[in-house]
Amino acid sequence: MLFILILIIATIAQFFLPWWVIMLVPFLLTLWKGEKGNHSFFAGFVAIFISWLIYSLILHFRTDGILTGKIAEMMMIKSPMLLIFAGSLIGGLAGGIAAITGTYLKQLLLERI
Amino acid sequence: MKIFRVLFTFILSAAAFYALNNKQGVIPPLGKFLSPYQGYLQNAERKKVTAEATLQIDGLTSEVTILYDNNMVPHIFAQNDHDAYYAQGYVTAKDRLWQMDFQTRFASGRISEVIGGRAIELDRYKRRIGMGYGAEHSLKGMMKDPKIKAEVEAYTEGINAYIKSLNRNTYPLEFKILDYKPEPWTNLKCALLLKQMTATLAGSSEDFYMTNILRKYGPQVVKDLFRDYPFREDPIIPVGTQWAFNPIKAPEVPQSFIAQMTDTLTAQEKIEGIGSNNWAVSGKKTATGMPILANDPHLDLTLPSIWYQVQLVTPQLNVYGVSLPGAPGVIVGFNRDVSWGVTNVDADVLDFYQIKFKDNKKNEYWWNNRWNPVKKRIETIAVRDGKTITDTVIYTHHGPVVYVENAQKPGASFAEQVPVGHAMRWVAHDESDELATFYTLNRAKNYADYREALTHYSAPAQNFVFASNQNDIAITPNGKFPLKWKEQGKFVMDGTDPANDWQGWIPANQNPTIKNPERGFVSSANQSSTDTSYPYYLNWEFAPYERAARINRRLSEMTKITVDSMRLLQYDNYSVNAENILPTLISLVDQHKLDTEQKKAFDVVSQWNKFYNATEIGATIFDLWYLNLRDAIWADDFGGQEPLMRYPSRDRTVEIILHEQNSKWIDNVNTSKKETLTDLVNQSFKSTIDSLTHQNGAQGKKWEWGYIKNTTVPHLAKINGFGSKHLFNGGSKGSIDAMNQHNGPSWRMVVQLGQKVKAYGVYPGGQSGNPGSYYYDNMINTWSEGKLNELVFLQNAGEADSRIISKLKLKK
Repeated sequence: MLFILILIIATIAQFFLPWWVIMLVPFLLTLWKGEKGNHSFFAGFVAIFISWLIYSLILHFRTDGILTGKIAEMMMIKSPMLLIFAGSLIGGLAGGIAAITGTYLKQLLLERI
Repeated sequence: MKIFRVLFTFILSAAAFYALNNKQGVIPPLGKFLSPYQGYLQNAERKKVTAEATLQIDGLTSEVTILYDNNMVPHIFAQNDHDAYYAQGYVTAKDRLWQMDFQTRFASGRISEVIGGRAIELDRYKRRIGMGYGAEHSLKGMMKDPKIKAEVEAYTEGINAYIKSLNRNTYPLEFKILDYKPEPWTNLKCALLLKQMTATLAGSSEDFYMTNILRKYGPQVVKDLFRDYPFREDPIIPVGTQWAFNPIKAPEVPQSFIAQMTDTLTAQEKIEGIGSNNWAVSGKKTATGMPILANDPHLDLTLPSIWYQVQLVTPQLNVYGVSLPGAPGVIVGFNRDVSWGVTNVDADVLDFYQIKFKDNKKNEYWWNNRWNPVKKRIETIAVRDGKTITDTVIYTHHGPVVYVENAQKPGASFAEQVPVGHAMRWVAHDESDELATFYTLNRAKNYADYREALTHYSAPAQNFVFASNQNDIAITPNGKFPLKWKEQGKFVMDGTDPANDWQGWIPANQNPTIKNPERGFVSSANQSSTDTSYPYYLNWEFAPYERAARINRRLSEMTKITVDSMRLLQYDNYSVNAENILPTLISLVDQHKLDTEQKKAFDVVSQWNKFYNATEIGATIFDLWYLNLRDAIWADDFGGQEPLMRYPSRDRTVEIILHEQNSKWIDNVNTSKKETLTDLVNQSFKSTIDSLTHQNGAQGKKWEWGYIKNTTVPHLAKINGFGSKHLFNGGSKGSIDAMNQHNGPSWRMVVQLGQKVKAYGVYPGGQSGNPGSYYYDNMINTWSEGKLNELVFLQNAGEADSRIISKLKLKK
C-alpha cells in the first residue's frame, strides 16, 4: 500500500516540483502510514527506483539514446544502461532514507503521545 | 533510544539531500542531474522535430514566421528590422544559450564565478588586458549609431525573452552539469563577444620575444633573421599595383629607435593555425559567366560550433550566412546581389610600452617630460565557493599595465607574451562600431555599398573579399590601422617618449584594396597585404605565403570554374612547403647509413606526391622531419625559457636550407663538433623515423597522416563525451585545407552569383548547441569529407520547399 502510494504520488509530484520531492513524499507518507522501519525503507526505495528507472528508460528509448551515451562517457560509466540503473539506485536510496526517517519519527511521536 | 534513531536517520537524510543537491568537485549535483524528471534526460531530444508550433511572446511589433530547414537553419521572416533581430536573438538563444553565456564569461573574466578557484588567473588576465574596459568603449560606439543601437537592443530583448521562458527542467544541459543558472543577456555582452574575436585574431604580440632577441643578439641578427618582408611572397594586392591615393605623412622614426637598432647593445615560429582563405573569381573565368566567391575562416574548432547559420528576411532585407551567437546580423554570407567573406589581416595593432613610475605608489608615470597621473580600475572577481577577489589595474594613456611586478605574472601560457611593467596599447580598447559594417554588407547591392560598409570597421582587421551581380570582384585588407613609423612596435617601446605613441590612423579609404584585377581573381590567405611599395607600415611579419601561393597558382590555371571546382580547391591538401624544400632534404640524406626501417621510410617520403591526404605516410614523415630539422637549427640559439625568444619564420628557415647552407646558425652551439646542414638533415631524419617507430610500431596503417594528425572537434568546455569522435581526414597548417588537430576551416562557403544566387556551405558541427540533439553534430561528417550542403535561400515565407521541416510562429 505504502509502496503504491509513494510511487504514484511521488511520480506525479516530480512533474511539478524539484527533484527532492522524492525525499519529501516518502517522508510525509511514512509519517502518516509508516509502520516498520525496514518495510518503509523498502517501499520508499523501490518506489523511487522504479519511478526513475521507468521514466529514464522511456526518455532514453524515445530519443534513441542520443544523450545517455554521452553522459555515461562524461561520468566514466561503461554503458547507458548502467548509468540509468545507477541513477535510479541513487534516487531509490534517497527515497528509502527519507521513508525510514518518517517512520522512525512517527514511532517516536506515537510513543510521546 | 528512539530519539537517537530519528536523529541519525534525519542527519543521514539531510546529508543525502545536501550531497545530491550540490556539485561535488567536477561532479554535477547527482540528485538534480540524474533525475529523469528534472536532470539531463530532459535535454534529450527526438530526431523528429515538431512540424508546426506557435508561441506568444512579448516585445514583437508583428508576427514573425520562422521556417527551419533540414539542417535546422532558421529562416526568419519578419515585417521590420526590430522583429527580425528580436527573432534572431530568440532562436539563437534557443539553440546556443549556454555557449553564448560561457563565451562572454570567458571574455570578461567571469569563469571563476562558475567553476571556482581554478580559473582565477585566467579571469585576472582577461580583466588585466582590459577586455571589459574595451567592451564598454565599444558599446559606447555602438550606442551612438541609432540603427546599431536598435539592432543590438532588439537582439538582446529576443535573447531575454527566451531566457525568461526557461525553468529548471529546460535549462540547457551545461548549466545543469556546471550547476548554475542563466542570467539575463545585456548589450554589453554583444560587445564582449566581438572583443573576444579581436582577442583571438588580433590579440597576440611578438614584441616581448623580439625584444629579448634584440637584447641577446643585437640589431644585425634581427635584421638578418627577422626581416620585414619575406624572401618568397605572393601578396594579397598583386605586386606592382599602383596606389590611387596621395598618402598622408607617416611619423618620423624617432632617434632613440635608430640608436637602438644601430647600437651594439618555449620558443616557436609565430604560431600558425588561426588563418583563413578567401577568394573571388570574375565571371570571365567561370562556367556561368558570373562571379564565384569562396571563404573558409580557420579557427579553433569546438562543439557547439563558433558559427550559427541564419537567414533574415524583411521587406528591405534578405540575407543568408553565418552569425556569431551573441552578435546580431550575418558576419559571412550573401544576399541576392552580393556576397562577402573574411580572413584575418595580421596587422600589428597591439604594442607594449615600458612604464617608468615615479615611486612605489605607482600613482604617476613619466611621459612627455613630466609626471602624469595613472587611472585605476578596480576589477571584482567573484569565485564560486570562495572569497571574492578585487584586483586594481593601473591604466596609463597607453592602456592597462597588464602585470606591474613579476610576482603578478602567472606561469600559464596565455600570459607568456606579456612583458612585466609594460602598458598595453591595443586597438580593441578603442571605441568602435564593427556591427555597422555587417549591417551595411547584409543590405549591400553593389561595390559602392561594400566600400562604404568597410569604412566603419575597426578590429579585428579582416581581408574582406567581395563579389557582386554586376560582375565586380574586390578585396580589401581592412581595419583601423595605426599610422606607424616603419617597425614601430616590432619590439617593446619606451613609454616615456611621445614619439613612440601611435600618431593617428591610416585613412580608411587608403587601406590597400583592389577591384577587378587583370588576372580575373582576388584572394587572401593571411599573407602580406601588399608588396613593399605600400606607403604605410602594417606589420613586419604576416602568415607564411604557401597557402596563398597554391590558391593563386590554381586560380591562374583554372578556367570554366564551377562551384564544385571551388569546393575542391578549399579541400586541397597540397604542400608548397614540401615542394620547396623536400627535394633538397632528400638530396642531403646519406642512404647508405640508414637501417632497414629508415630506408623504407626514406623511399616512401621520396615518392610522396606532396599532398597531405589522410592516407599518406609520406606526409607524416615530412611533417615531423621538417619540425625536427627546424628545432635542430634553432633550438640551441632561440629556444629555452630564459629569456623567452621565438624562432625565425618558416620563410627564413627555408631560405637558409635552400640558399645559405653554410649559415652559422646551422651549428649546434651546445656541442663541440661543428655541424653542417647535411648532419642536421640526416640526424633529424633518423630521429623522426625512430620516434615514429617507437610510438606507432613498424611502418603501417598507424603512420597514416590522418591518424597522426588525429583531428577531433572537442567540446567548448572540454567536457568528456561531448566532443566529436576521431575524424580521419587530410590537410595541414600549410595547405589550403588548413586542418590540424583541433583547428581548421570553421565554415566553408562557396557562392555562385547570378540571376538566382546559389550557395553552398558547411561547418563542423550542427545548429543546435544541445549535446542531446541530433542537430548537435549532424554536419560534421559532411564537413570532414570535404562536401558542402546547398544552402536554402528562400524568397518568401510562403515558398514551398521540400527541405523545410518545421515552422515556428512567434505572435506578439
